[in-house]
Amino acid sequence: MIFNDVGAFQASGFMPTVCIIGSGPAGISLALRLEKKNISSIIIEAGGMEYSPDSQDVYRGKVVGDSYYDLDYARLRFFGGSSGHWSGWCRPLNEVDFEPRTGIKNSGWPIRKKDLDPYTKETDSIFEISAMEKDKPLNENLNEVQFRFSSPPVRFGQKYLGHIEKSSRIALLLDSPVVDMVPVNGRISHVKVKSKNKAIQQIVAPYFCLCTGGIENSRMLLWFNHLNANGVVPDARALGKYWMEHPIFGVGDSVLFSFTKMRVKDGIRFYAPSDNFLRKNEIGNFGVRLAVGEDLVKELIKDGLCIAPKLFTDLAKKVDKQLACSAAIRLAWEQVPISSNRIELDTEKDANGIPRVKLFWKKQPQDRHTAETALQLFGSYFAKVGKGRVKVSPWLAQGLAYPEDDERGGPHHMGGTRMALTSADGVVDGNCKVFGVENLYIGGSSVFPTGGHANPTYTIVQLALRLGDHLAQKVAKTI
Amino acid sequence: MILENRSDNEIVGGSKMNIKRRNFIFAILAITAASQLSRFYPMIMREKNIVMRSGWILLEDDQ
Repeated sequence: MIFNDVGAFQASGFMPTVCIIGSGPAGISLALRLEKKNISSIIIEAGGMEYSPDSQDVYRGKVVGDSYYDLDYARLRFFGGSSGHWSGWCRPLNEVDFEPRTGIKNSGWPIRKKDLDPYTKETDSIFEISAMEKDKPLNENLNEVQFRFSSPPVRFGQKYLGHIEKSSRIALLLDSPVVDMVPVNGRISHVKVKSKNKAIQQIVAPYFCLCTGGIENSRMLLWFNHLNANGVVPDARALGKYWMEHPIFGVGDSVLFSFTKMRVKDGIRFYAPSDNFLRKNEIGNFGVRLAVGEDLVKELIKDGLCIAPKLFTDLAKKVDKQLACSAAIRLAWEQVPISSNRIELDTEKDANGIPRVKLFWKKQPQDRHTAETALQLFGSYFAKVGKGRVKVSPWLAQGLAYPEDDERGGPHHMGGTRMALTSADGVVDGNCKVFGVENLYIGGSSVFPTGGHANPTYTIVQLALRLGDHLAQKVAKTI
Repeated sequence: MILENRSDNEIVGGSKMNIKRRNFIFAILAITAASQLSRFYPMIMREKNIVMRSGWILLEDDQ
């Protein structure tokens, strides 16, 4: 069922058990899971069926700190959410990503990989990807790993529109921004929705789940807390804090010897540290991406001739015989979670009268240490097994500033409403339930306490499916 | 006495069997040795020292 106006929805008499706010991968996956369990839900989407500049304008905001994308470019506000422009990279988090790690302050999830593994098959099916191959250990510290690609990337809006239209258990309400969430006696009683004619209407449900994205989840809850004296999030010490990205930069180039050249030319090769390496070293997780692109081998050999003349003279001869080439090295890595990387409300307001977002984001010395260690580990392996030689980019080798004309980040928005054991350290528990509120849940990567190196969308869907099962159990107990 | 009662063909045939068996054992040993060598090869290589010169990650004996 699809409604374009709150009034039409109210008139339908549809009584949702779960009110889901946001129609991105988290919101839609949750609704689909609930539907399988015969539980009705409404998905409230602030934007329309398609992209519109007016709706997108709500996502404008300020970034304080490191160079970053414009915030209205880094996410999408219409049916399907940011799946409308994602590139389809799929990989679950590793076991070690869930563990508390020595030297990574604030690391550790209240759940483990085994809690999400049961949702692998269904998540693969949603993304239309084949089963994942196991990581291939290259030595005790480094693995060759696999990313799977949803190709063409699944656009949740397009893929599930027909299904939702026909569904008797999922209602989709478009163009309806939620402007307030009202708590009564430790429960959310209702949300206030702004209709097209600017009138404010209420939607009531036994359960609510906020799935508006890795920035909006924090912005909305900060605003709802401001509006309600008792607070929608009663203990808001961690709210908006510990926000994270995956820094992504070109970090070096490599000269590949013949055999490696053939393998890498097949496509991008991915390398990542072993779980044990991460347990022993005080660094974030990382993924090295090796890809043959513009062939810089002659320039690299020229550069290396005065440093190792014999090696590079021999290599020059191989280049003439087309037995060597270059490959670019890019790195996506995990940021350490720190409270000063955070979301706040700005003084300027959007069209709905809600303060715009102000994002404080700065990469830390430990983040840079992760990148340096990654290159050392990868470059050493390459040299020792005779695959080639690696040259680290000057900005990283010489401790210069991060390049501003590079990718900079996913954009992968994580943290802000992080999962934790107590409300002192986070906003939601291991079931994604907000601490101190009986019936409010959060979906999406804002609940990630740490980010690993894998793109977050796959884990977002696993978590949403798991949340669906949890809610189904809760509902069953109340019947 | 038993051998004397056997025909030449039987004796030759028996020798051929032994050669096949010996070659088979040699082949197994060779495969095992090769697989062990490849298994330990990276470990041997790890003994090489790594140096960083002007941003290049090189083996110490790269010249």
